[in-house]
Amino acid sequence: MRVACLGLWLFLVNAAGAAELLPFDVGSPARIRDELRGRPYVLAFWSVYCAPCREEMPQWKRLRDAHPGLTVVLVAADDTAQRDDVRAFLASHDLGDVRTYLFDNAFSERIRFAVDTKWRGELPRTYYFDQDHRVQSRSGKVSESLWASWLSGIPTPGR
Amino acid sequence: MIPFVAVIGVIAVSIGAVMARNPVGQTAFALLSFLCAGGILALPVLAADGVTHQGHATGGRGLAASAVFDTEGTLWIVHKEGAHALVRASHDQGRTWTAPTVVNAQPETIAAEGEARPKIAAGLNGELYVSWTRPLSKPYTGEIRFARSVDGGRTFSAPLTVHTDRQEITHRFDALAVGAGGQVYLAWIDKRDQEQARRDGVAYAGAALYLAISDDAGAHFRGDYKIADQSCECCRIALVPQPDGGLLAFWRHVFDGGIRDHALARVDGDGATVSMQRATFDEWRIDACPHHGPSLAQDAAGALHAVWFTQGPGREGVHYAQLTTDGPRLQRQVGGETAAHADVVVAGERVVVVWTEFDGHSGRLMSLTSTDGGRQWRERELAATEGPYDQPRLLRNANEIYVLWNRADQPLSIVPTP
Repeated sequence: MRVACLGLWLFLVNAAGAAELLPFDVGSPARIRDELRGRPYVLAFWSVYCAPCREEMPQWKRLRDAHPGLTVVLVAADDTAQRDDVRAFLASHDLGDVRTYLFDNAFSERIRFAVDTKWRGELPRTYYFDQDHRVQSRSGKVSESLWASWLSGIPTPGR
Repeated sequence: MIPFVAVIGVIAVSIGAVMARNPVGQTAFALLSFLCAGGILALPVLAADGVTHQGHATGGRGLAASAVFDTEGTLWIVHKEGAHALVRASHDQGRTWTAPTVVNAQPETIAAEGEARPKIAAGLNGELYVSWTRPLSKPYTGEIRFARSVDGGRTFSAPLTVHTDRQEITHRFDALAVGAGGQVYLAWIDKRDQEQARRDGVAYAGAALYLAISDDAGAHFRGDYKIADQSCECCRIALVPQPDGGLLAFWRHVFDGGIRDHALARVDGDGATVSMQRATFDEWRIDACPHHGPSLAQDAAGALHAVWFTQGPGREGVHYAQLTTDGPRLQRQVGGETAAHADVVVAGERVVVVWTEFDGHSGRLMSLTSTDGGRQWRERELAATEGPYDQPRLLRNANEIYVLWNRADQPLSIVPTP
């Protein structure tokens, strides 16, 4: 009875929730990497509570438009309780076909560890994977010049 | 049965948060909640959610809790359940808890994740003080709320907003402390100066730190006193009341060039900042939100024991030091490379630091203890979990030290330290 009820709950939730904000869990980094094999992509983590993250928001569509082969994946590292805020903030920006995710559960340490064992939760946190999936990363805003270096394949120091 | 109900409750609340946006969903969900869980936990919370939900998630239970021992040795805890702060007592150091008292009878949004959580402090005469941040409808805004109990936790006053500034802007990350003379201090991160700078077309890095003080056991507050400009925007603040009625504040600051190291300010009983100095020198230059605030404790001789997090060059991780006017003394790294969210407390000769580490599978609660004022330390593992966990918080009961380490698999768990 209880299991059936739980199933029905979950069904209703899925039916009620618009699905543009995808769940990001421990398996997501590997799934995204596999799906985008041979293609460059950006994996960018942000939060509605992070002012530098919000300031960066307009750059994602610009980056995407300037590099048609580049997939941009934007992940809100917020609690699922902030889903409405995350949705509202994303809806207030023209993001084109940038993919948007939200951390799937409260075990953020586990999700972060699956992304990068060195990432300590600071935001924004951005990863650029080139077409061979060599990765460059940065905590804090990524400057125009750093984007230019990354996209032209010039190695830069980590962090 | 009880754990099952609790799990259902947590699921119900979080699902409720999703469904409350839509009236059909609400009705269907309420019906299902009632049928499936007997309405024990889920229905009242959902009803509360339904009232307050106007595009702002009230969220579920979350793990972010605070606790304190009162002067009689009773342990009190505050945590969030839907749109309510709940307080429970324990007379056996957290092994069992009383049924909860609802702090805010009227439901309202309560921030409880990461660095934000409801706080609880005990007065000198049995008063209980609770504070929290109430997010407002505009994103990232909030106000600092406060309620007190003067009848031993049986009832709480209607919550009041502590600051006089009522703009719908950021007033968040409340820090609550009680002074030796019974004063109640509430400090918070405030963006009124940043907003003014924006209107004036002037650059303004970070936010500001503000303070309100109550001299009548939380009946009224005076303020708003600005402690400092240019604080980091989303890290918790550490407060240490002083014998003269003032207090010390220790927080992550935005220094020139975007260096997010820490500052220490001495504030007098009138709310005036007497002095402010840079206290840590890790040169962490970053335009980001670390979401990782410091902690501070003072020993009987007046020495200041601090812990904080940095990613400064060559200094990545959690650090301990004694703060002096000549800079940090005895600075050392705490724990391994995943060490996070440290807290520090002093009890008699003992200085205890706790923090968490994560190895990809388990979270571990670790401690360092020094009995010689921070020169030599002994490290221990105190507890572990394979589920989600909260930041640890140290609790002092006379000379005994405990840790509140709230875990999904052991809710409201209190861990003794050796």
